[in-house]
Amino acid sequence: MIFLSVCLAGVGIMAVSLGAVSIPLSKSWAILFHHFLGTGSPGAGDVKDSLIILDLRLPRVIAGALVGAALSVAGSVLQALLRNPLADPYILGISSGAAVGAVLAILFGLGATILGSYAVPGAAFAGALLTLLLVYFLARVEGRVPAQTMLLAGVIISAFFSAIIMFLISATSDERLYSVTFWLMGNLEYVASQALGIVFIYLLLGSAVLFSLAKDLNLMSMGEETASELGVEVERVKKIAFIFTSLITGAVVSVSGLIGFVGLVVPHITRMIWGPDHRFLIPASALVGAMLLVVADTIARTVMAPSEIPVGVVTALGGAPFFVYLLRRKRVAGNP
Amino acid sequence: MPAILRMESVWFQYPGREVFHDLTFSLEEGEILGLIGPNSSGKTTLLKLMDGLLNPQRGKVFLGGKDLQKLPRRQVAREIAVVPQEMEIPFSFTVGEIVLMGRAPYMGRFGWEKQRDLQIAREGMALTDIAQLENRPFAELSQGEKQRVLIARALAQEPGVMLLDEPTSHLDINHQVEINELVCSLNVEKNLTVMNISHDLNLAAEYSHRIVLLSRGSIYAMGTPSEVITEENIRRVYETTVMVEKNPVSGAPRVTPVGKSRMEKDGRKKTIHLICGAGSGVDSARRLLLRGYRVSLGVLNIGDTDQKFGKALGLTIALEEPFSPISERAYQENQDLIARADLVIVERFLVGQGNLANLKAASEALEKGKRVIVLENDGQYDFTAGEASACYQRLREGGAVFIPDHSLILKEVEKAVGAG
Repeated sequence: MIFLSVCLAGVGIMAVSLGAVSIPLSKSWAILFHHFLGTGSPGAGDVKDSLIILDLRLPRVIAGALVGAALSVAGSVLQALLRNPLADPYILGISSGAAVGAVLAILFGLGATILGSYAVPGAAFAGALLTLLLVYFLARVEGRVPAQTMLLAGVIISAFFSAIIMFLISATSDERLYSVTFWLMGNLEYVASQALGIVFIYLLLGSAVLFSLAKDLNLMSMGEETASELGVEVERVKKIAFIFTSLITGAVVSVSGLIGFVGLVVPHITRMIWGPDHRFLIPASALVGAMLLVVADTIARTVMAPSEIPVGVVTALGGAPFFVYLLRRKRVAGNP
Repeated sequence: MPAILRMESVWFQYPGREVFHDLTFSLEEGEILGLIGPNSSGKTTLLKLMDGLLNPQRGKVFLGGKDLQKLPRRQVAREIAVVPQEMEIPFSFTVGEIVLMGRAPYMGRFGWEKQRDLQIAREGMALTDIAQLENRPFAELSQGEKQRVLIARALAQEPGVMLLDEPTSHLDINHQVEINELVCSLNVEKNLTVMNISHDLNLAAEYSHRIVLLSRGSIYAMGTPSEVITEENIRRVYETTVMVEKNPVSGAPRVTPVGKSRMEKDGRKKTIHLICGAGSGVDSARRLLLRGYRVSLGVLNIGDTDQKFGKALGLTIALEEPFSPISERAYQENQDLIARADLVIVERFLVGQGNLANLKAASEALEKGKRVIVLENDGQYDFTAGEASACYQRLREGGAVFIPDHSLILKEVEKAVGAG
């Protein structure tokens, strides 16, 4: 775990150095040290580099790390909860609700109102919360939320909201279409650094709660009956896990849009290397996911510099072939 | 004995299908209870009700006097362990990790297993003979190995009650016996109360103190194995014909299915008469019946193995009273059967004064022109001071076909009388 944290820090420093303007590693290091610890010299008083690193790149790297961590934690929890290795944070439809909120905010130009840069994330998060409630009550049967109905409710809500988004897009013709498309593809370009604090709190709180369920999730992945036989209050664990995965997913989707594949692939990578015990899997997934998304975002910023590609495109381009590789490697279905 | 688990007037239905209608039943402390019954008679549902996985719509289940539904699952899991029929997991947990999960009801929300937990898990693995599998992924094991892992996990729970759902259905005979004996020894040493669902009536009879026979959601019979497992009960509930006798080794009732296909049907052309006794005729008779021949037997004493077998299959038999020498009447009956048969086979049996007449009947048949096949009898078979050997000599001289063992029997029969 310490090893992973060190890796993440290393990746972070690399990431702030790379970009349209390349800054030497040693310099980035010096600037960060100076800024956070007040020691050393930022070197030659280069205000421009300092500005690029601290104001432009650092918030973005942090955003990448937060989003990657949150999606990976949510993915690993949902895969255990639904006993489905193909589950990802978007499978329960939370993301599509957030998307409807965001698209509406963009199309109605809420960004120009008093809400400012909070408008789109705020609307997206509201959409996510509404969807959470909708899916939960749709899936509830006699006080229980069976995994199968939860999955079905999520898929149906997703499909329905996707249709709404399609409709909204088809009814739009001006430059706002570009913003919508860019949001839907997922990117970290417009993450307001003010929003990061809020996302961080959600992530910390949500992950802590989910981590406290780690042992129960181990048992749940053997089936709800088995878990119950071994002392798990299955319905309670399901409800808590559903609510908190939805909250952290909603929070990050609101700021980053739909970044795919991270939440699906990272739990698999982590499980392949360190095994399926959730007491380790949840924190390790968070760190691996953070690293992966920071790397992906750095690629998104640099390959076509000075212009950018959405990071969602990078994760899907990299993630899909990787997933195929996983499937082919472990021919035994559902046993990666 | 006090009831450790008690169901009181339980009503339970799945949507659209009623399973239990006012069922009252208790599992008593320290007993091994066998739960038997045909498919969909409600065995597994009963088990799930007893562990609180399902809630009855009416009535209550009590664990040691407390309402099971009101107890926290953690507490239930320390008392009751369930061994399911099978378990599939989507991730590659190792055997060791799965067995350790049996310690979950004793562990806090955070933290890892302690030395004591590891030790208990290891003991469970040693008892179920899976210690060498500790680091293998569960998903890669054979069904039999998986079942033993699940039993080890249940042992790690240190329960007072163990509910097993066909725990040995995938095991080879060696592990079947081993697991059943393990359960018995835990029952004796740790006073473990056991309920065991079984499709294997013989294993249930062998290892249970008490048997409950379930039929369509109600208790059809309950009592000791020999009270419950009777030809009548099994025929009524399972709708199949069986033969129940005492296992010669353990004394428990032993059930042998009498397959409907083996029952004699009409329309067979050739009849073979077997002169046999003490089980010597079973092997030939089965093969001949399966090939479509009609089979008769004689002379047999009532209670003889061949006689019970023949009776169960509904074969025609020339009978004699138990442990009595062959009387003139029985001899004549046998001669009548021989006269109606197309071929006579003399099986390999010990010959004393009591059944010497059977060999004589064979000689007589040969003299009357019947075809006779004789299984070569060697070793100490003659307890008649040479009379039996003389009979064999006469058969040989009279032109009977002698064959060394049963492998040639069908071929010789077909050569002699054609297909059945």
